[in-house]
Amino acid sequence: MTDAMHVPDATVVTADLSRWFGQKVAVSEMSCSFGPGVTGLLGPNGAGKTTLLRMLAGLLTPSAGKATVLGRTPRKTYGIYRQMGFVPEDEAVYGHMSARRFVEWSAALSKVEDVSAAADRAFETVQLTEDAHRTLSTFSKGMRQRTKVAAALVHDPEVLLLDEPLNGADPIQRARLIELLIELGGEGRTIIVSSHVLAEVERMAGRVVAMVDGRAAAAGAVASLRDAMFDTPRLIRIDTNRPRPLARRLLAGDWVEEVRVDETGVEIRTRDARALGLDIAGAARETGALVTAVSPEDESLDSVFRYLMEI
Amino acid sequence: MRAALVIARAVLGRLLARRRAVWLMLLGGSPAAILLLLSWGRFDSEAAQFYNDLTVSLGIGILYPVVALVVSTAALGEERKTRTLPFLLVKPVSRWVIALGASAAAVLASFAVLEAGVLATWLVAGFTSGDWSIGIPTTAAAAVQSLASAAIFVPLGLALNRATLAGLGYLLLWEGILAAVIEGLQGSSIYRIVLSAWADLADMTPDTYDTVNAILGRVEIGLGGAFAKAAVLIAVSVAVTGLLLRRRDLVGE
Repeated sequence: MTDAMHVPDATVVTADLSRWFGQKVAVSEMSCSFGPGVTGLLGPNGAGKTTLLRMLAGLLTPSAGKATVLGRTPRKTYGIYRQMGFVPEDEAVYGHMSARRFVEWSAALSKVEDVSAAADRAFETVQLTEDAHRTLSTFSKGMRQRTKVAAALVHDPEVLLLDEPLNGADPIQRARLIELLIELGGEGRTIIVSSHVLAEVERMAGRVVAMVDGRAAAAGAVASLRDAMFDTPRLIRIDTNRPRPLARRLLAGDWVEEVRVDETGVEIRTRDARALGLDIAGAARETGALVTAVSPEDESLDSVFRYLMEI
Repeated sequence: MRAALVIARAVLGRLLARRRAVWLMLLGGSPAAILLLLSWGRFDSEAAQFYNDLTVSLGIGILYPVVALVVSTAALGEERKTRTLPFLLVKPVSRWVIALGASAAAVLASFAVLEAGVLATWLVAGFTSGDWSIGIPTTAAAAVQSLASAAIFVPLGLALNRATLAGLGYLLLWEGILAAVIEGLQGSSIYRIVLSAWADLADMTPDTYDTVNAILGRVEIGLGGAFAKAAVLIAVSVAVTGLLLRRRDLVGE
């Protein structure tokens, strides 16, 4: 396999994988593969990331197609869970348990020989050793996430699936989790981590699979996806008291593709948003326009993913 | 089997850790307060009669099935509602082992909660009647109740969102009305199975005996038979719950 959707040393493979709920298609004919290292599963809310991860984890039956982890189908082979860990998106934990008990419980069910030593290692990895005795109900969301990661790691799995693990974590905890995932990926584990935040994925994942509307829209290194996005026209809105003179002036720039003027501002479609940004201040000075806001109209993730769809 | 024990311990801890367990213990123990009021100042065989009547009508008839229903539906139902079920399902453990562990926890938790009330009532009845063996039949009934209720309501809790409500409907319609009217259904009535266990050990007056026999209908009095039926029910239940867990899809978003 040489296309961007597939990797040569695949450990997790989906083939025409689909899942629908009644009329709603959550995942549609997804064919891709994941290998050692961190792969970011990127997509806006509702793109189908959670459904895909749950099918990979064996929690959901595919409506069509197939998913295999290390050559086996999780839904049919419970033994695969000795080599796989899953961190669900839900904040839910066993609130009555201490973090240590929860992780030891996971280790015992995963048939780990020395449960206590394995829990010690897992807490050390997620840097929660000092708080391990505390009841989970007293933990912050970020600490709960790290406990869930510890529970998923306690049996030393080859494949780790994480559904939005950075949700709710504060910046320091995010940084720690990102560092941890990079480290785990560096050890040769297959780490698949979903997120709807491009910047986060960029920091931790060498490879990205972007999902839109249940389909794999693009895959590859983050840089190559970003380059593709920069080549795509952007829509910028400038709020001003003198929209017409400002629009006339900005049209002089050869990076402007299209201009629309209304009573409160100008919308400009450009191939080079950076050049436009540099030109706005001068244009405003020259035309005597008071610029009150400059905002990208289509910078939302939805539009970014629409761009990716077109790649 | 080690995995089943690990699961049972965790589910048991959750079922008994909640404030709900205390409320249910108080509910199960409410006959103790009633008995205390009714037999205040009496220290004779009438106190034993009060105790038996109260056990048959209020305890086995209403409180014990309701308490066991609430506990049993929560065993896996709460895992589902609080979205902790994935933690169980992504382990290298067969679904039947999970079902066995959860059912064992439901039985133990139900029995612990019921027995707290039984002991409180037993204490009052023993003190007022002078017969300290009076609570033994009720303990046996609580054990059968815990087994049979877990068998019915653990899978129900997994399958339905409003399992407790559905269970109350079942208790009212099936146990309360249909099994009373249709003789053919009496053999499958948990109420009657539990009552048959209690009646086998209880020291009843002729009046109470007649009342119990009228309720039992076709069901024979017998502790062994009651336990055997409950054991069969729980075995079938574990198989059904395992199947439900195998087939269940856990939807995230």
